[in-house]
Amino acid sequence: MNKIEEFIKEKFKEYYKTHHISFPDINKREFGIGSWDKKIEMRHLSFNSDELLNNFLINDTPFYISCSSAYYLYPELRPMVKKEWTGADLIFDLDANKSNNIKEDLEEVKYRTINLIENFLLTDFGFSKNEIHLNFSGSNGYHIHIRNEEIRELKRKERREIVEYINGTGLNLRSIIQKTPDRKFLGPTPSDHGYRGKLARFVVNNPERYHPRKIKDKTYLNNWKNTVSKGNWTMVMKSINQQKLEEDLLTLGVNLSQDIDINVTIDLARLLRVPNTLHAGSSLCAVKITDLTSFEPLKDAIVFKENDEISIEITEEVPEIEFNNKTYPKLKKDTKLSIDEPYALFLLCKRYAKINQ
Amino acid sequence: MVDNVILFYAKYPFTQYAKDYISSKEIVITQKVIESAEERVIESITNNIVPKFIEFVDETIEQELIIYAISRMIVSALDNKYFSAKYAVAESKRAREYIEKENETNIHKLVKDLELNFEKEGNYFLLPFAKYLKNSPGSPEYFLINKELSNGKIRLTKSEKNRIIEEKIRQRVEKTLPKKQKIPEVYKLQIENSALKIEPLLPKPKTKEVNFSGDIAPCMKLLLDDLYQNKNLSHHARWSLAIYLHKIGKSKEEILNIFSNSPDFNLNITEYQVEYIISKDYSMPSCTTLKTYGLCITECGCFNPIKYIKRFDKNE
Repeated sequence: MNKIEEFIKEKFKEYYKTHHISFPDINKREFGIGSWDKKIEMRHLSFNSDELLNNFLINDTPFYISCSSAYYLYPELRPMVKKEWTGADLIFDLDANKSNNIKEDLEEVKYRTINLIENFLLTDFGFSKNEIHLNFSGSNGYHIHIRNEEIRELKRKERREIVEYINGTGLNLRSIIQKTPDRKFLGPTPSDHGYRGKLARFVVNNPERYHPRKIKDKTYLNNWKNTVSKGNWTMVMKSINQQKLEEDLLTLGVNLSQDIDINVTIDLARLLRVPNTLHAGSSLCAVKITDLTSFEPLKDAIVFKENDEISIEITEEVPEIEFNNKTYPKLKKDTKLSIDEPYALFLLCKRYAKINQ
Repeated sequence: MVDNVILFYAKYPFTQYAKDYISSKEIVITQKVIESAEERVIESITNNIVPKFIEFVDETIEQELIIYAISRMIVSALDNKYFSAKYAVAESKRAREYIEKENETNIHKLVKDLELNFEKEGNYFLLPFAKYLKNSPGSPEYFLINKELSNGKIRLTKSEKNRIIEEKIRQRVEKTLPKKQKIPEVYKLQIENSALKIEPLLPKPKTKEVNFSGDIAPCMKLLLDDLYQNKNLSHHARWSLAIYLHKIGKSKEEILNIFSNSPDFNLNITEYQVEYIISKDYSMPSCTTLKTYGLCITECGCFNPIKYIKRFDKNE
C-alpha cells in the first residue's frame, strides 16, 4: 500500500469509527468491496447485522463498499444461482456526463434526477415519498432505491419496460396524435395520463416555442390553448414544424444513458454503493438526501472538514473548482502547494495529485 | 335448470373454484372422455380453438371439467414447449369468448381468482402497473410507453382489460400443467397413447425459403440465423426483426413464413402483430436502441440497420 492509500485509509477509518452505517434487510444482501484501483474487487460477502458491517468497516476499511439491490436466501453462496434470488428493489443510477465543468455536470444530472422523481416516480408510478430512497453516488451522480413489495419480484423484462417508459424509448408522435380521413388531427388533452398528457401540457404551456412571432397575439394563443385542451390538434399540427414537436416529445423523458444507466435498473444482481459510505474516487460520502433541490454535492457530501493543510504535488491539471464554499483556482501539473485538507483529499482521491514527499 | 355455479366452473376450469369442485367428485373416465380430450388438444394445436360443450345440462358440464383435466395430462405427456404454448393460447381464447358475454358478478369472481385487482373508473378499469407488467401481452400497443399511467395505475378500456385477463389465463394454464411424472398410474397408458397420436402434429422445421437480395445488417442476420435454427427470440428481437423485414420490403406472407420457424409460433398472434407493424409503419429502432435491447453485435457503423442495406445498394 502506498503513502496516499495509507493516508486515505486512515481517514476513512476515522469516519467509520464515528458514523453508524445501516442497510435494510442487511442479512439478505450480497456485498462487494473495492480496492484503491478497482471499485468492486471482491463480492459474495454478507453481513448478518448492521453491527457486523460496522465492525468490518472499522477494522478492514475498504475503499468502496457496495450492496445488492437484490434479496437472497443465501447471499454469500456462489455461483449466483445458489444464492436463491427472492426479489430486488427497483434502482436507478443517474450519472453525470463528463465535461470539464464539474459543477455544471453535477447540476445537469441533478435536474434529470428531479425530473425522474417528480414527473415519473411520484406521479406516474405513484410511489410514496417514503418508498423512494435517494443518495449521492459519492462521485458523479445519484442513486435511487425504491423499496416496495409490489415491484420486488419484477424480472428483467418488466424492469426494462419501466426504464423504457422513463427514458421515452420508442415514443413517436404518430401513436399519440392521429390524423382523421377528413384531415383533422385528434390528440391528447392536458389531463390525460402518461406521455399523452405530458405532451399536451407541454404544448399548452409553451406556445411561444412554436410561434415566437405571435407571442403578443392573445386571441391566437387562447385559441391554441383551448383547442388542445379539447384534444383538437388540427390548428397545432397545421401551423407548426412537426419535426420540432417530435423532438420535444422525446425531451419529456428522463434521458438515461443508454449503455450504463438503463442496464443498472434491469440488472437483477447489481451492487450499488452503500448509502452514507465513502467513495475513494472522490473522498466524498454517498450521503442520503432528503431535499435534492438544495443539495450541493461539492459541499454537502464532504465529510472531512479539518482545517489542517496538506502538502501535495499536482500530477494532472486541475480546472477551477468550487468546493466546500470556496473557489479553488486552476492548478497546473507539477505545482507543489499546501492546501486545505478537505480539498487535498478530494484531489488525491480524484488522482489529480500525490502527497508531497 | 343448469346450476349457474357449476356452469362457471365449466367455462373457467382453470380457476381454484373449479379445481376444488372437481377434486371433491368421484371421477369416472370413459373412452368418450379420453376421445373428447384428444379432440380438445388437437383442435387447440391445429386450429387454435377449443371445442365448446353445446348442451347446457349438468352432466355435460361436469364432463367438461374432466375433459379439461385429461387434456392437460395429454399436453403434459407430449412434453414439448410448442404444444403446451399452443394449448394454453387456445384455452385462454376459449375463456375470453365467455368473458366477453359474462355478467359482472362472474367477472368479479373470475378476476379475484386470477388475482387481478381491477378498479373501475367510469368506463375504464385501473390496474396497478406491476400487476399489469406481469400480465401484459407482448404486443407493442401494450408496451408501458403506449399506456396511460398515473398514480401507479394503468388505465384500460374494457377490451384491453379482457385481453389482460386472457393473458393471465394463458400464463396460468401453461404454468400449472401437471408434471409428466405426476400423471396418475390408472390412466397413464391411455394418456400416453393419445399423446402418441398427437405427436406427429409437431411442425417440421422449415428451411430457408425467402431470398434476400443485397446485404443484411449483421445484427439482423444473427436473429434470422437463430430463427432458422428454431431458437426462441426475445420479444424485442422479434419486434425489431419484423420491422426490419417490413422496411426492406418483405411482404406479410414472407415475414410470417420466416417467423414460422419460431418454436412457439402462433399464426394468429404473429399475423396480428405483423399487420400492426405494417399498418403503423413503425420506424426501425436505431443502433442505439438496439444496443439497449442487447441486440447489437458489432460496430458496423451504420446508425440504423436499414441504412446498412441502403449503403450496400448504392455501391452496387
